Amino acid sequence: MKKPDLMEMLADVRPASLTPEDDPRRLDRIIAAAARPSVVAEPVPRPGRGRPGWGWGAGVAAAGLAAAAILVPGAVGDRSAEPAARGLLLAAAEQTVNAPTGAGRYWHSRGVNSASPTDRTSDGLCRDETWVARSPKDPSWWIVHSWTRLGDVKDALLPPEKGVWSSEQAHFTCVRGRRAVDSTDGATPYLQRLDAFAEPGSSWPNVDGRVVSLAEIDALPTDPESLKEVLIQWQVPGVSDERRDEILFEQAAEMLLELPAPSGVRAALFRLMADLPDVRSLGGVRDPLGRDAVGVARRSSCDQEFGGELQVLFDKDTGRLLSVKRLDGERGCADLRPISWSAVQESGWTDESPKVPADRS
Amino acid sequence: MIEPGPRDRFTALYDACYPSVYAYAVSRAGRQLAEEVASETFCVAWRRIDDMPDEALPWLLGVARNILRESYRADARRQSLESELAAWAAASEHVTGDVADAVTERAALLRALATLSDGDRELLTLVAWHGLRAADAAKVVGCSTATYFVRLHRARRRLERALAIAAVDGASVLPSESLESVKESFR
Repeated sequence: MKKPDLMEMLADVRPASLTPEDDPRRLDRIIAAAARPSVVAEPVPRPGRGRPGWGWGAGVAAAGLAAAAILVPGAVGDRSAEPAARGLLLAAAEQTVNAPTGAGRYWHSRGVNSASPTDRTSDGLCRDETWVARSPKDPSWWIVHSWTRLGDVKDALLPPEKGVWSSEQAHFTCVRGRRAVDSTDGATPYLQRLDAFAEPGSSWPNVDGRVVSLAEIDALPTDPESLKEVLIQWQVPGVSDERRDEILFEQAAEMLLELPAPSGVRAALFRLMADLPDVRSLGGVRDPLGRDAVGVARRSSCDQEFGGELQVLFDKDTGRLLSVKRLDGERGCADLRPISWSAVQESGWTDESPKVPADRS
Repeated sequence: MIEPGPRDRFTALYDACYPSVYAYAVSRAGRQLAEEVASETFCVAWRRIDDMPDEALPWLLGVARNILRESYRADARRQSLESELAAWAAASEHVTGDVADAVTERAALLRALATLSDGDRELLTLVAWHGLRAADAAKVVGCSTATYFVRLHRARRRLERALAIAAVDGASVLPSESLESVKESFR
């Protein structure tokens, strides 16, 4: 008999206290509280929350206030990127704004990606192509030509019984930006429908998890403040100003790396990043493919358990995005280590179509 | 006056997702705060019903997570959560007879879970208790799917270690097959 998996064991011990009591009037109370205009409008300071035993009605009122503060996109803050980073980003915006946007049936990009989890050995680069269809009627594809092979656990806590680790855990992965796909056999080419992801909610394109259409991308404002308002609307509500800025940087990096935004929008994304606090310059660097680049970076959650840093590397002369690199820390930002990077080799609109086997098209 | 359309949609959303949002809130902040957090989450949902993605649960849990972080003092949340964690373990005590082994195993796992950091516990329970796929759990905690896998793997190892230590110390007696399965997961 198969021994139980730890996650299955954990699922089996789910406490009964996680189940809410029936309360037929709860829904009406929520709607009444949510619809109460005074709750949203009055700028009352946040009380000392969290006293156990508060009635939820009071909590709803306070949440309304929090939501009101959150729902209004913030004005430009006093703080922006450090001057050197700001200079690099504004220069990239200038170079990008008049670049031709191009046209075609598919947005095609070719890339190289690396994933190196801190606790597994990894070997090899993932080379891939992304084909995003202009028309929603055509399929979009992610094609993997080579995989990163993930190997054994490096620092397991108990020794192996026979002195060697099983290779059963080894598998193949490709991590591009915020998306990832795995394979057990490493066969290539591997084709993944992007607009019908096996995992619901992962449909493509998306920005920070929010599904977007190419029509929405095309229609994005080219003024950085208006663009920022739209991106904040795309975020999950309820975040602090600090976290909002962190997500904005993520959204901008993801859109520059992955999405066919018109050149005016790309320029606005660089300007938006230039206006974000805590963005610092990496100066002149080489990107993971050895290309000359300049870079900016932003750290996040350094005071929390899991810190991180996102680096955006681009061409100094053209503003073209070259790579996005992600670092992760287990003790805030004290032990940041690179865990993945994605590079763009070429990208643009084309009238060509992806080569897809007949049984998949 | 509330239009019937949005109200029907919201009612369906509430029926489908309230238990999960409440469960998430209990696991992050204990029963004392969970009702309040879950209700606040649905207040935000009511106002943002038009922005809600088709896959609503990760979005809702993301909102609940933000409310917990932004609206509650850390010490109040910790206090409420500690009561909850203690209650999970206590619920498994004072049992004898045939079911005692299973109950002991259950208590050991819950105690091991309670020794983990808040972050590790969240990563594990999003998948194990709240039924999210890794890609959706990643959305809730605001990281990439790849990063989530790395963190989940680490959290799982720490849970395994906590369980193994508990077994070795005799602090909790695990049935041998459970310990085997823990060891198995290292291979």
